[in-house]
Amino acid sequence: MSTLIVISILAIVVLYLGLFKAKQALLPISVLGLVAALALAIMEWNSNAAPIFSGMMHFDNFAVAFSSICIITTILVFLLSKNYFEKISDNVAEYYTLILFALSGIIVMVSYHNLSMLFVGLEIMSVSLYILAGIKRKDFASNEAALKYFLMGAFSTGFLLFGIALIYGASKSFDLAVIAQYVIDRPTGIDPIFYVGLVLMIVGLCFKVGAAPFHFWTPDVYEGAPTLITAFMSTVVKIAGFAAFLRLFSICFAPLQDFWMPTLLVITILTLFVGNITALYQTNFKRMLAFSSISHAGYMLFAIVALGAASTNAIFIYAAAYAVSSITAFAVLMLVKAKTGSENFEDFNGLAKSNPFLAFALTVAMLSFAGIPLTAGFIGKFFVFNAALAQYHTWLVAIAVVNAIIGVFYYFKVIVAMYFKDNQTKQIATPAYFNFVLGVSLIITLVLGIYPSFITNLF
Amino acid sequence: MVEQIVFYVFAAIAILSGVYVVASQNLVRSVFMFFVTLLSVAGLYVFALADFVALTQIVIYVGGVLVMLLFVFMLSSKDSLDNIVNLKKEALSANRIPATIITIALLVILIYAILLADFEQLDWIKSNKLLIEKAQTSNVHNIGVNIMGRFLLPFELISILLMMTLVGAAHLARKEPNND
Amino acid sequence: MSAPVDYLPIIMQLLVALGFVALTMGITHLIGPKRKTTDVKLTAFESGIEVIGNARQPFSIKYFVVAILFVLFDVEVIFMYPWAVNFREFGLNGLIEMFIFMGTLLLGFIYVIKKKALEWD
Repeated sequence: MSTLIVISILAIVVLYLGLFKAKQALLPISVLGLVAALALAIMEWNSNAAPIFSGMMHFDNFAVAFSSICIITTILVFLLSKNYFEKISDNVAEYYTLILFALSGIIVMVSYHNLSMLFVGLEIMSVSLYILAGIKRKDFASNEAALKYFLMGAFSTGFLLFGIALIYGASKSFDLAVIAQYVIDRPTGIDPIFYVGLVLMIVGLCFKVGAAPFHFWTPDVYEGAPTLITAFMSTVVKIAGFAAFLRLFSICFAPLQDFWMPTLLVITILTLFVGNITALYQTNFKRMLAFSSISHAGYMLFAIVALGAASTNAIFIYAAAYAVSSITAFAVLMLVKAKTGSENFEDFNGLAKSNPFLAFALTVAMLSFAGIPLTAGFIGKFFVFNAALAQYHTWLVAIAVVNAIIGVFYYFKVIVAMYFKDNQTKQIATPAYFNFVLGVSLIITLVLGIYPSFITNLF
Repeated sequence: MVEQIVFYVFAAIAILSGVYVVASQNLVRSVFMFFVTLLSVAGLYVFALADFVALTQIVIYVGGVLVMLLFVFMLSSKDSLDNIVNLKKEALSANRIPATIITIALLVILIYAILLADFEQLDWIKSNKLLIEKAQTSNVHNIGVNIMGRFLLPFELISILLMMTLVGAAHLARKEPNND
Repeated sequence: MSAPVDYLPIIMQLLVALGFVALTMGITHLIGPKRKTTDVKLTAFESGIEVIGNARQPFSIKYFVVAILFVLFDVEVIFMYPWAVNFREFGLNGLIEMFIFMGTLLLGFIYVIKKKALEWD
């Protein structure tokens, strides 16, 4: 709770700092505030047994873990933003403010205990993202991304709201505990509108996390939005979406697994194949990352399909690994783009010679994406597959492994470009902030990959 | 009996005007027809005993959102609107297939729900039916008590949402200092 | 508790208003004099000069800021209504809760003014 308050107030403070021309203070204060929020969140570990505010919010360990990972990723994104927004416009404070507001919505999304909170949190997050996607006001692609995202987002919110309404209609409550009780009390004879509401909620949430067949907006929006915002969207926002998804299903709908499992199963398999196969054909690195984020959504959906005691842990580890690797990939992309002006694979040619550290960091990130052992991504995939195997979804795991192999192809494309293709590029200057972020991500990726026991037994 | 007739009249107006809004080639006419849709839906809310929602519908949608829509249509250049009209000549182009599929799927799901659901048999509706004669407090009063009590946290969060929208709108729609 | 019946006067009023419009329009159409018009006569009179272009030029985006702000404050006012109805019952707590809500929005509004988004030139 205090985390939410700190982040909300921080957003307003940053906004007013921008108003009073304290531009130099924006970044330090945002980061310091987030560190404070992070500390407050971690202090609440194991300390909240019951929902607060008449059952609106429950800052349990699940919420603490996912808030922390979202806050840490946001800090990394902020560190990359040094001198980034200044190029777009003079009004830098608004961008920090909007990201912070989005983060406060995300905190609500990972800690809600009432569907009305889920809705409000989701809206706070989405609306600020619609604006953030369009902050390059004179850039056609950015405008297109914002509009597309807005229309799709509004549409999916409609589905979600319809679902919430129908579930309320059946159970007469927004409260997760009451809905769960409603399901448990009726082994048979749950009202049909409850099932319909459940389906509509699945559709709405799948839209939000960008799972196939509701992924149409993802590539265009990710490509059109400014790279830093794309980094934020494909990490923090996606994690928050999955946290909300998982929270809803593990608290409320777990007993109905027989009903929704086939639906989600189809969605998962579609997502994996669509994401991976389309990513194979991309020449634009940013667009490839967009499709790879779809396929990673598929892997995370995996853990929800095989909902069980291990799911939370699996998604948490996967999300952590995915977030740090994505941040690395986007950071390198930003540097390369600033240098060459475009985002294609050829722009990475010869990077290993000119910038060995950048190339190494990106290589580790790609290996982690692909799930090669000794990286965090491998541990993430291992836990996700393990959760699925625990429920005897053997052939599902086989499909996922096939997809992981497809993934290796396009992740290696960039590695090959960096190490085995020559290009007379001059050295790219890496600002200290970037080095710090890349270093931190690299360390997290490797440490998690080699000693996963840090976070494997959190829950 | 009379109530039912009025209800069906409102429902029919809402559906027909809604179809016109979607099908009409003239955007300004669509917007004006949307007034009718929203007003008749407000009428339906009254029949659902949700007079506060009806009021909200009229104040926010009819009074605010629609006026803004009209602003947008009236104040933007006519040429760009004509282009939109020219665009949508083909009824079943490839662009529309996903939309069509989703719409039909939603329709099927909702019809399924309406056919199968037995609203009279829901527990809480049964128990509330007994209460409905006794209820004397007004709707607005109840909503106030709930917003200020149980739903206080979402209520305060909505202020965050509105403020953020304010900032975003002012930021996106403001004038660039030098050239725009 | 207000029943739908209570809204009958509004429907009546609506019908009367519609009927009045239809009636007066119909009657003026019937009893008024008829004129023959041509396309030339129906064009706008511009002192004898041919009309060029379209009157609907793109307007400045400033109007939209005002419109959006109006809608936002519209929403805010709706939230105040149920609070105002029970104002006494909520007492000091309700007042504080509402002031937090309004204070947040006020901060946003001050920002908009300070940012000169509402200035007209």
